Amino acid sequence: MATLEYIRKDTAVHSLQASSKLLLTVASLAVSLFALDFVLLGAWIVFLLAWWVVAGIDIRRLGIIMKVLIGTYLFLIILQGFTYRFGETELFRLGVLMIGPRNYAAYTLEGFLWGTLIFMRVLAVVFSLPILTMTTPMTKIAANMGQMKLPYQFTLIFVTGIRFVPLVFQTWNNVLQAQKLRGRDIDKLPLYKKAGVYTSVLTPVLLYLLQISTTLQTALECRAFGSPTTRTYLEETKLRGGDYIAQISTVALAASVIGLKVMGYSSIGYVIRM
Amino acid sequence: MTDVIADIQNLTFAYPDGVEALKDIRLQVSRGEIVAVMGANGAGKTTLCRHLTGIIPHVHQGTTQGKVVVAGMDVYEHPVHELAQKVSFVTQDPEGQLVNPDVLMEVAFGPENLGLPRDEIMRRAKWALQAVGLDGYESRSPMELSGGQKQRLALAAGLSMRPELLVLDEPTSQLDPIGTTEVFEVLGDLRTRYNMTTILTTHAAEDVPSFADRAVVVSKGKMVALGTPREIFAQVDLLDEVGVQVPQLAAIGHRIAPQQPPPLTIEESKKQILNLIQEKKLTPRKANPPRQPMSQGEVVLECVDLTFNYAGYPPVTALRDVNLKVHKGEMIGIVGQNGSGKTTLVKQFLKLLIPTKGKVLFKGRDIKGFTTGELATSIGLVLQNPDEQLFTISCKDEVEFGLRNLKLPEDEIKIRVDEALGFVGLEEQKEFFPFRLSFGDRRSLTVAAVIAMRPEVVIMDEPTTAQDYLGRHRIAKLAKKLNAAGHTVIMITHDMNLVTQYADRTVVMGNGEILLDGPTEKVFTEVETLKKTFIKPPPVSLLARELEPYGIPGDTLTVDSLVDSLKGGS
Repeated sequence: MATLEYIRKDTAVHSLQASSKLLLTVASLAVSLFALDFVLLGAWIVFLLAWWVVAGIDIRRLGIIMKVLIGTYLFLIILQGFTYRFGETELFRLGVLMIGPRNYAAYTLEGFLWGTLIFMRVLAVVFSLPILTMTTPMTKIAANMGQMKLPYQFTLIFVTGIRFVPLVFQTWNNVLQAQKLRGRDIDKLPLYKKAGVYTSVLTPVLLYLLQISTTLQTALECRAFGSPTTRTYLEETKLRGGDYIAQISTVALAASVIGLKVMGYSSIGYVIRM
Repeated sequence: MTDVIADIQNLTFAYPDGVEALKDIRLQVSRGEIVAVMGANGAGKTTLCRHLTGIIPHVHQGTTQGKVVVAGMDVYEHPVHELAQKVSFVTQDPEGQLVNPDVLMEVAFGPENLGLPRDEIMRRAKWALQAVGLDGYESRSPMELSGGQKQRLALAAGLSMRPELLVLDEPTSQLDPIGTTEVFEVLGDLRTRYNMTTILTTHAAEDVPSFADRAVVVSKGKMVALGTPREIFAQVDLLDEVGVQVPQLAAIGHRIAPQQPPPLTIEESKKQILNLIQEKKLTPRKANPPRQPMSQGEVVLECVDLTFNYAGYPPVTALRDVNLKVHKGEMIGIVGQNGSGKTTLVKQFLKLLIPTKGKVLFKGRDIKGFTTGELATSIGLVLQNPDEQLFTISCKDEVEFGLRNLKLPEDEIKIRVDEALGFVGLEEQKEFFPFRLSFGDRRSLTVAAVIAMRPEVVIMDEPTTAQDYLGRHRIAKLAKKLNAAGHTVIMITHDMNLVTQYADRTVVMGNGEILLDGPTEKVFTEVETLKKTFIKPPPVSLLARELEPYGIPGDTLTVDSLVDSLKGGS
């Protein structure tokens, strides 16, 4: 989880308001949903990578994410290659597995391309997340959510949820350590037995988190959470010149790629059908 | 007429399971007072705090008789967020109280909810952080802080509300000694500047005389004593009976002149002793029975040039070139300020953390080749937070867990379970669900679970945090007993009274390095070095140094030995 955590830096992206970066995330989601095309998604990914460069995001920090994504990509191209329902151009076959008219042991070019396209769709969203989370302190995100007139309860659930994610991992790790300290040699267990251990870890983790959440409720109430008074946000949320440039360029590019798709643009449409 | 800020009238309360936690409590606290609530674990201190802040009845329910009025508001008639504008509550577990992504936001959270102007919020936040010694940490994530730092932050978050009444439930249980004193000084400062009232529960009896106007002693839900610290600490027999610590100086006074009011400061104690010497009622005697010499037996654990960095941007160095040899049969105390690297060091012994540089040897063999599970059969480590070390449905099962991993026969398991639970005083709670126990008892249970495995080396990381006086000494005595039975024992603690009483050797850590390492008597004479890592010697040690010119051994560390050295010629 540390790979997506905020890193203090002095870049143009860091100085933007969270709303500009939230807009980029929402726009990425919209593009991935409505501009399913190699060229259009590719253009959007290049646009996001340009943000990365400006934000000074270290690509090495995303090593873990990329490993997971490569696994996802392999899964998608294998699955789609063999199962894509409009697959016609056979690249190779592992045998014969006829279900209806389709041989599910045959790997097709269209399936491979479809899997790749879905992966690009994932990339378009995933690549936008570090731009928000690694350049914006959670305090700014919370303040901007408040500015967007979202109920504060919602914002608090969001922020607390984010806060609790590392706590869950930390607690999980600590319970696992405690079991090792009582002579449970987890490191040497075969994989299927490890799964059993993890199940036994889950219960104390949940219990501990339940207990913490009661303390949390007390702490929140004692600090006037839920007071009918209008809440003050410490963070300034006023938009500046850079925010206008970022928001306009984001909306313009997202509108362009979605518009092109809506108007029928397709880079390799003859291969892929939806 | 006195301005009463908290008025507790005939309060009786029972939790839904029928346990009567408070019985007919009557207490009035005046504006500007600092009142310490003392009592053994389970005496009802936390329940009292919950009433003062409206957590009972609004969050936790039960059966109540009586009335609680705080800052003019009946707690039963006003919601917590309304009470929160007048009363701040800081609970003893900091982990669950910190909800914000950075330190500044944490402290600003309450004032933001009150809708205060931004500059006022910033002013309060900066002031509160400075008050608890966390200025400069504003942008740090609360998750990155040590246990003691988290406790300071939780306190700062309560302070920033600038309440009329501050209710603190064991606010210093995880702090180093000077950190503890600083927090109490802050309370005095708040009273002077803002006439703020504080009611706090504490086991830090040594500090009570220096900050509290009055003290309340509760036992089994009843208020058994109320008065000034001098009045309270004069009742030594009562305090012994209910398991409340008597400060060392008062204990010495009680032993040498029980008819006199108890001395509460070094000056008072020195004056009393010198008067008694002058009156020939006491004669100082130099010779103290020599302590057990430091063992020079087989080296069981050894760190060689050990350096450890926590990953981060930039990485945080927690240990720097640490070299340490632990001999078989030693009883070692490790002390040092919050975040000095104590826990990080002992985690290396079991490969819970892997050294960045250097190595750890167990009986001369690099531990690299062992798993944590294998090492745990020889080295027992009790970690700080008991709630992350309990994972079964009964106390009995909890202790059995490790024994089953050792594949012991059933009859042996039964013997060891009974023995370990008996050691920590939990034999009657054998079938209890661990999370039903009090925090202190949950901690005792984790100790029982580890010692039942009878490891060669036993390491206890802050085993006495949040323990009452009897619990602390019970665990320390247990450690000593294990040591006497041939186990090597290492104990990390902030309780200097325990270290000086029980440890033969003391290792002092600061900023990831070993600052001092030697016989306990010698280490505690290095007052200036100790101060660097927020350690202060116990009062008896400071008193002995003051009395050295009059013939008392300057390296005296315990009440018994000081009294012995006085009684010699009486």
